[in-house]
Amino acid sequence: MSKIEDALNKAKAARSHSLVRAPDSEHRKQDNVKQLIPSFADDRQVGRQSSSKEISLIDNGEILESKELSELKIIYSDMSDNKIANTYRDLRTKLIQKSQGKNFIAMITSCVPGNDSGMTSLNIATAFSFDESKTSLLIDCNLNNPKLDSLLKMEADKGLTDYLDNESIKIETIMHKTGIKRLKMIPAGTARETAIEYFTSMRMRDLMSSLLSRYSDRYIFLDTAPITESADTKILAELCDFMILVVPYGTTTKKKLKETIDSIGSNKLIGVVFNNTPKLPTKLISKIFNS
Amino acid sequence: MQLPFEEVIKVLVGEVFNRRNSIFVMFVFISLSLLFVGTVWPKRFTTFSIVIADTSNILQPLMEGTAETTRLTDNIRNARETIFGEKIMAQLLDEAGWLKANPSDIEQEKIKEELKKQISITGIGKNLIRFQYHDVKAMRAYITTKRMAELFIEEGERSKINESQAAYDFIENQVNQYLQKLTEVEERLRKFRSDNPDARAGLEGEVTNRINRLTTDMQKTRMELHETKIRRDSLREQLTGEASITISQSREGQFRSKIADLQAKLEALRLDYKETYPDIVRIKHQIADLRKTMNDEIKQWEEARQNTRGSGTVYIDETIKQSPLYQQLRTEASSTETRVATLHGRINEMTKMLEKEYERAKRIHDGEAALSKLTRDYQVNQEIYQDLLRRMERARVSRNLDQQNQGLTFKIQEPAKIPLIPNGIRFIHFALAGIVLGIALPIGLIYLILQVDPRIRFSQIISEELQVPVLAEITALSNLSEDRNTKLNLLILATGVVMVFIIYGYVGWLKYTGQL
Repeated sequence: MSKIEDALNKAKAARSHSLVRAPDSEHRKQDNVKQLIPSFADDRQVGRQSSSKEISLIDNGEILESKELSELKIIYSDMSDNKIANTYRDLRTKLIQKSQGKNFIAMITSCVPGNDSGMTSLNIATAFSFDESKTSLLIDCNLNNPKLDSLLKMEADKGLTDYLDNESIKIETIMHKTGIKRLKMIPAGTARETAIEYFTSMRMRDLMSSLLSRYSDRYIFLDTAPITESADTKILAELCDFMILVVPYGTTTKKKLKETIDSIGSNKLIGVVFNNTPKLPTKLISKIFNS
Repeated sequence: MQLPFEEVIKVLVGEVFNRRNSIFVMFVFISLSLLFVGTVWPKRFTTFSIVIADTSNILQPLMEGTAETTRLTDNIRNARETIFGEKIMAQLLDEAGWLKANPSDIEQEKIKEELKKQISITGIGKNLIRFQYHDVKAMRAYITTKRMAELFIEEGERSKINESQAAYDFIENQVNQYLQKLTEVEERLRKFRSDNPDARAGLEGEVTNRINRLTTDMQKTRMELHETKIRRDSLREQLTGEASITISQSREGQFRSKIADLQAKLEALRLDYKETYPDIVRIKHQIADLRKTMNDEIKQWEEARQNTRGSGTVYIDETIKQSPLYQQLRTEASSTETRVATLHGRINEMTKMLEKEYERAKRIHDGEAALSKLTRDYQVNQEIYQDLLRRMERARVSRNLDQQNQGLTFKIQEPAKIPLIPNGIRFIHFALAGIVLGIALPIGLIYLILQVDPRIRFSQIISEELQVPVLAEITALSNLSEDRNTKLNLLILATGVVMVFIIYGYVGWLKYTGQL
């Protein structure tokens, strides 16, 4: 890789107000260029140049390539099957409409024991990060069975429990880069004790409010254990603004779902994400055989 | 909740795609097993023969009312019973070659049962009988069907002849019985007649006539007797005294008339002659004599009368007795007496005869009742006998008709043919069913699961029935390695399907060329 090329890339990155990790191949460079174009469009629409500028200064660490994202089953803006990405975008729009443009803490939980909502939470948070004027923070609150770090192929590192345990740890320490632009993540952490006690603590409340109020364009998503499985989830419901229930396709009956919804008994539930619906073979086949 | 059809199809297609491996396994299993069944499925050859039961032959109108042709009454049932009878079944078993393997009795029974299941005997229209038979071997199907029709005809004709022979025999027997009865009655009648000669038709009338005649005769005789008695009485009276007076008075008259005659003669003579003429003198003497005789007689009679009055007995003058009139009266009286006696005798005789006749009439009445009974018996027997005789003649003709194969005849309208192409479910059907079922059954099963499984597969249920908004419907994401696996999997499945079709083609070809 020549220095001239490096310089060119840097210049491009500067134009797009985003920090791009130096690409090490021609291929990657082009990917990045593609990735940038919709971002421009978004910017023009939203017109939040000032905050985007600020956000663009955030260190995103190593940015994952489309291929890697695809491998991790994480959406990206120029994916070939952009129907899914668009679905997440629509979901994002709906959530923003609900919050009337303000940032919020949304809790995502599954209604089926054993089926966790990690993937969906991750993708919802990613969808928010598509918008250059927004950042998203994903907190893994599923302390018994944390998944997010593994989903992102990240090493288990200090996280939420460590922070709540140890007052000397600062927020910055537990906020990890994800490789996805504008998306940060707080893993469950390494210390494992009774979860309820963590979530009922004042430090948890403080953490939430400080996270929410620090940046007005930061959207916080709590990925929690299935609501039927853990009492934590109900406690966490107190701390969040919205609650999104993930209903996987063909796993629960209407009766059980109704019971679950009734047991939540909270007006914070804004809706259901019906996921894992079967993919139509036509699209899948064309995708498979074109790749 | 009525789900939109499009949604259902979408979900169904998705499910089918997700479960493609199990579907493929089922497809391979179903199609190959049906293909296998198709190859081992026994061929089914069907052949049939149509027998016409011909009733409308030329003889029928000719023999109408005289001879009975055997009717086509329930031929089908008859045919079934004939064919399924022990005799013909055994013959069929033998001729179709079932016995080559020396089956035991129980096995034979089983084969027979099987044959019965495969044989169908149906009626077509009024007088066609269709014999149909299925078999795995074409030749055996042919032989069985052919022989079945032939044996049926043979058996039918034989039974028909037997039947008419039996009818004839029966009638003949009846005729003989009645003949015997008739003879018996005749004999009894004859005996009765000889025992009772009076018992004769019309005798009663005769007897009545006779009685009538006798009665009339008797009345007449009685009348005559009465008359004769009166006459006898009168004659008797004449013959008594008073009668004699009358008689003597009449004698005096005779004297006087004689005298008058002589006087007249004398007068005539005096006209011509003198008193002294000898004739006149003689006549004068004659007149004087006569007067004297007359006077004497009167005197005598007077005396006699006076004497009889004194004694009371009838005096009859000797002269009177000597008179022809008296004699005549006496003769008459005696003959009248005889007549009376005769008439009495006759009346007695007649009374006796009448009594006899009455008695006879009574006998005749009694005999007649017995006779009419016997006659009636005789007549009835005779009538029946004659009728039976006529019937016997008809039965004889009917029997002859059947014996010469006239009347109801069975002919083979359509002979059995050797079937060339098997029918029923064949290899091709199994092959097609294998493909179709192999595809349809698993998909149908999935559709059924979708219908039955209560788990939520449609977002509409959440949004509309539970009234919870569905924010998004997200299909699962797949990564590259998964895609690669899917691709590999699809290729394998496609290869598998192609393999199945190749097997189909190969087996089909073997089947077509007859190697299988």
